[in-house]
Order: sequence, then C-alpha cells, then structure tokens
Amino acid sequence: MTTSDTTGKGKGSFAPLAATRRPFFKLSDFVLEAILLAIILLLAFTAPGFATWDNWMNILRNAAMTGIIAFGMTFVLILGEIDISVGSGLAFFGCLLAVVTDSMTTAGWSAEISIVIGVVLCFGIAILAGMFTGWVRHVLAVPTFITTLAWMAAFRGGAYLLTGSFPVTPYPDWFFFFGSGAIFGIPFQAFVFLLVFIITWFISRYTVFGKSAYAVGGNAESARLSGINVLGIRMAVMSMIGVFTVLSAIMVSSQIQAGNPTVGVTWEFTVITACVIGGVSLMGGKGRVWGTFVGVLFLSIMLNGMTLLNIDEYWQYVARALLILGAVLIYQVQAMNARRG
Amino acid sequence: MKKFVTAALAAVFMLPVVAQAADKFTVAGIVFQEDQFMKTTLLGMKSVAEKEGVNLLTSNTSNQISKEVEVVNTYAARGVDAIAITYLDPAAASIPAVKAANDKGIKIVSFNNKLAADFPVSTVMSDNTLLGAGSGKEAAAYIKAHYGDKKEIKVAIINYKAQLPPESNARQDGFWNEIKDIPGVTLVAEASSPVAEEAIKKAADIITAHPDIDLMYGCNAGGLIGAVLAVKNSGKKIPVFGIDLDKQIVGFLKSDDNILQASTAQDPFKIGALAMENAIKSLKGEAVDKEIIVPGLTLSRANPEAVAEYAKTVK
Repeated sequence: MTTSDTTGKGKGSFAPLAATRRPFFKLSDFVLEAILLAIILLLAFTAPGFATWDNWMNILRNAAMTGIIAFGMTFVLILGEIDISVGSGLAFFGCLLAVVTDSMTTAGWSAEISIVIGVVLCFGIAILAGMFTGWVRHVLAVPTFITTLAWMAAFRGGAYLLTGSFPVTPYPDWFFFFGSGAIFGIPFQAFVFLLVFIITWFISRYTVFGKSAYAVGGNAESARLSGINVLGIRMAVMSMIGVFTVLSAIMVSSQIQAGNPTVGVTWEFTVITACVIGGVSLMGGKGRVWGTFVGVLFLSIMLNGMTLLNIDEYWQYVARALLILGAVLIYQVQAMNARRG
Repeated sequence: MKKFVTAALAAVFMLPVVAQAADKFTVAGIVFQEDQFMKTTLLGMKSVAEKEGVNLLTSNTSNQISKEVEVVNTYAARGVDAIAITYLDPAAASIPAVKAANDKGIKIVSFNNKLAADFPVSTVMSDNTLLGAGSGKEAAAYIKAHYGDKKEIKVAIINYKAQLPPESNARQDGFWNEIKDIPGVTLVAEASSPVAEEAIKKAADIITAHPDIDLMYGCNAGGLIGAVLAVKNSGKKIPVFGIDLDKQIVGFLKSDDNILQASTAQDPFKIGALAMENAIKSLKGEAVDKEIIVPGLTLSRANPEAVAEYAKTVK
C-alpha cells in the first residue's frame, strides 16, 4: 500500500492532493468498456430479446442492488480495507425492517410510521457498526477483514434470531414500489443506482473527502502527516458502505416482498468481483467509481445474456471466473506497460 | 485439598453418567442449514421429545461437512442414545462419522435424505420426484383446460441444481414427466437459483427472451417466489407452478392476480416428528419401519378451502 492514484491505472508514491487529478480522457483507460461494448453488440445479434427496452430495464434493475453496495465497497477498497459483512448485513437489515414493521403494525401503529421507524433504526445501526469498524481499525489496528468477519456472523445470526428462520411478510402494497415500481417506465432501483453512482463518482473526484480516501489507502501515515483525519475517513467510509447496504436491503425486501434471513449469501463476493473487474485494487489506493459502474454492468449484462441464451448454470460459473481473470490480467498488463513508461 | 479437588473432578465427570442413569433418553437432532424446512423438522422432533420426556439436543452443521463430522463425533463422545440426522453428503463423506457413532451403540435415524449404508435403523424422507409430480399433475390439468388448441406450449423452469443437484433434478424430472407427453409442450428455458432475490432476475430475463412463454415452474420456494414476482412485474398472465409452501406462497395462492396456480410441499414437521418417534422406538427395542416416505401436500388455487385451511397452520 504505497501508492495513491485516483486514476486507478498509474504508479508512484503518495502525491499532493492537487496533483492527483487525472486527464479527462485516455484511450488506454477504456479497454474494459471496449470489451463490454463488443459483448453488447454480440448479444444484440445472438440473444433473443437482448436489445429491447424491457431487457435493458431488467439489466439496470438487476445491477442496482449489488451495484449500490459496490460503490460503497469501492471506497472501502481504495482505503485499503475490506467489508465482507455486506451480504449478511443485507439479510439482517431486511429482516430487522420486516420485524419492526410486523411488531409495530400488530401493536396498532400505521404501516407508514412503522416502516419509517424501521428504516431509521436500520440506518442508525449500520452507521454505528461502520463507525465501530473504522474505530477499531484505527485505534486498535484490528484489520477490517476480522471485524467485518465478526459482523458477517453477527448479522446472519441476528437475521435468523429476529425471524426464527421464517420469512416475515408484513408490508403494505405501496412498499413494493421500491423493489418493482417504475417511473416513466424506468425501474425505481435504476434511479437509485444512478443517483448513488453520480454522488459517489463526484465525491471520489471532486471532494477533499474522496481525495483523502485515496491518500489514506495509498499511505495512511503520509496522509496523517499531511493533516488528513485518518480516523474520521476510516469511520466515514465504513459507515457509508453500511448506509448503502441498508438502501439495498430496503429494495431487496420490497422486491421479494418479505424479510428473509437467507438473502444475500455470497453477495460480498459479487460486490467485490464487480469492483475488481472495474479495476479497483484490493491493495488500496487505486480504483475508480466509474470502473465499478462498468464492472457492475459487465457482470449484470453477462448474466443476463447467458440466461437469455439459456446457457447452463455451471457454464455461467466458468464464464464469471474467466471474466474476473481476464479483467485482472488486462489491468496487470496495463500497469506493467505504465511502469515501463 | 488434593482429595477435595479429586472429589470435585470426579463429581464433574460423573455428572453425565448420573444424568444418563436417570432413565431419560438423550437424542441429538442434526440439520445442515438454518432455513424454514430444517427449523420445522426440529420443531417436529421437539414436539415428540417433549411428549415422550426425551432430552433433545440440536445442532446445525452450516453446510460444512467438516462441521458435520465434528458434531457427530462430539455427540458420540458425549454418549447420546440416538442421533437423528440429515446429511450433507449421504453418498460418501457423511458415512464414516455416523458409522463410528453407530459402532458405539448409538442408534442412527436418517431424515430428509438417505445414507448409502444399511446401518441406520430408519430413514424418514419425502420423495422429491413425487413432489415434482404433484405439481406436474396440476400443470397437466391446467394445460389441458387452458391450452387445448395451442400448437406449442412453452415452458420455463427455475431449478436450484447449482446448490443441491440430485434434489433439484428429481423435482424437475417429476414435474416434467407429468407434462412432457402433452402434444406441443416444449421446455424453452431453464435457469438455476435457489434464492428469490436471484431467481426473480433470471425469471425476468427468461420472460424477456420468451415473451410468449406459457407456463413457469419453480423447483423450490426461491425459484417459485422469483417466478411469481417476475411475472407480476412483467404484467403478463403466465401461470406459475412450484414446490414448497410458506406464508408468502400461501398468500400467492390466495391472491387475485391468478399467477401461482399450485404448489406441493413437503411436511417437515411430520418428517421431524417421525424421525424422533423412530429413534425412541428403536431405543425401547420396538420395531420401526426401515424407510418411511412422507407424502407431499399439493395445494391449488382451484381448491380455496384447502388453501384457507393450510393457511391457519403455516407460520
């Protein structure tokens, strides 16, 4: 973790914040996008129904739930940390919201108030959990892998304890809008996905907070010496992914119309995969929100295309593995070329 | 002091022996995941254990064969009288640990799946092919009633073969065998996902690829729920059939949207209860059936009284 690079492609040691702005357009940065475009063209001619409006809305809807968390994960990885609790968190917050709604409506409260209180509670717990993770990382030097491993077990256990292993279905019909509703024919989740993308993209490129995250991920000690509040950055970033997990949990609960403790299994890997495909380094200091956006779409389009083509599930696993490996090799070759000058 | 410590240690180590001597059987119930089905089998065991005054210990092996071995060995060392267990790898990897327990005189009862060995005193399970056939018969009746004049009837299946291939394949085959010979029936798409949040995506993709699809089948609760919600989101009128019954699925059968037509469920409570009954019987030296197939229950929206009756029992 010795580099700090907002381009996600370059090299070198931690540079002053003002010098980290990347050129607006560099053709070699867009290899993945070019491959994705080629795949889109191929699928448009081979996969039935691929090049239709409805299918593109499917792709956006499918990408949204993991994508939102992936934007949070991008910051976590840039920071040189990891969060493997997001899948379990998704289940826990979905179940917590369902159980709170169920209990309060049974006690005579309106569904609207019950859901609002449930949502506030979920956000509160997610933020506190993230702050705690960031704090123990900074003050006690406990790796976030370990802390979020504990959260992973706690959240999954909590989801089962809250529901007794049975799906909880307390929601009124209007709540299902968040998971299956549309505005002007565009899924609601797609709006949230794009909104979160724009916000996180802006934060990463144009704010002190975003630049500081790269700096901390590149070299925390240098960042501290240059006056960056490393503890604050760590706590904020770990809380941010918690907030995005809650957002996703609300939409998943709405989509499946229940709080279910079994949801989100292995989502952490899907989310990390999207980031890696998008060029985010697991070593910290490197990565772009745009890359993650492309990575999420890449995964979603590949899965969509393979289902449309009726490709066997087992081959889909192989295709996903090749995709990850291919993306990593491309970035590695690019990095080697960059080092050679 | 030394004598006191020795006496105290002796007392501690003798406790289990004294407890076991109190003429109360101890039975371990082992499941491999914490879902509604497994939880309900344990509830079935618990109800019998309470009635019979048996001490029930329960464990979840969390889909890890190493943990299954560890749990079985722990219970064997503890000296339980019987183990009722559903296996992660009944064909091979699950055998040695339960064989060792059996060799120590512990009675083994299998439930939910069958061990590839002869020593378990009893096996209590559903027949997944029959479960599939239960919904397949309903689908066949629906096709004949609604698609009599159609030349091609396009069918899509959401299975979960990526998670549990033998179980998923049996449910799919059981369903398919009931409809495959109806003229025009064609399987146009097949996807795999055991959980609703993924199945809904795949079902939506299938509907996009085949907008004129005539029927969908979900091999488990996840696939069924995903298919129903994807059809609902698409605004199309595609009938869905499936396997499993829970509160949400019963709600689909009662819904005015007319999407879910029928679903067949195992009876996990009965499976658990029979497993415990057989364990106790074998401990008492009574005869037990070597294999019990617990029939599934098919609910159809064509029979709203049965759906309403079942709704009263489902949590």
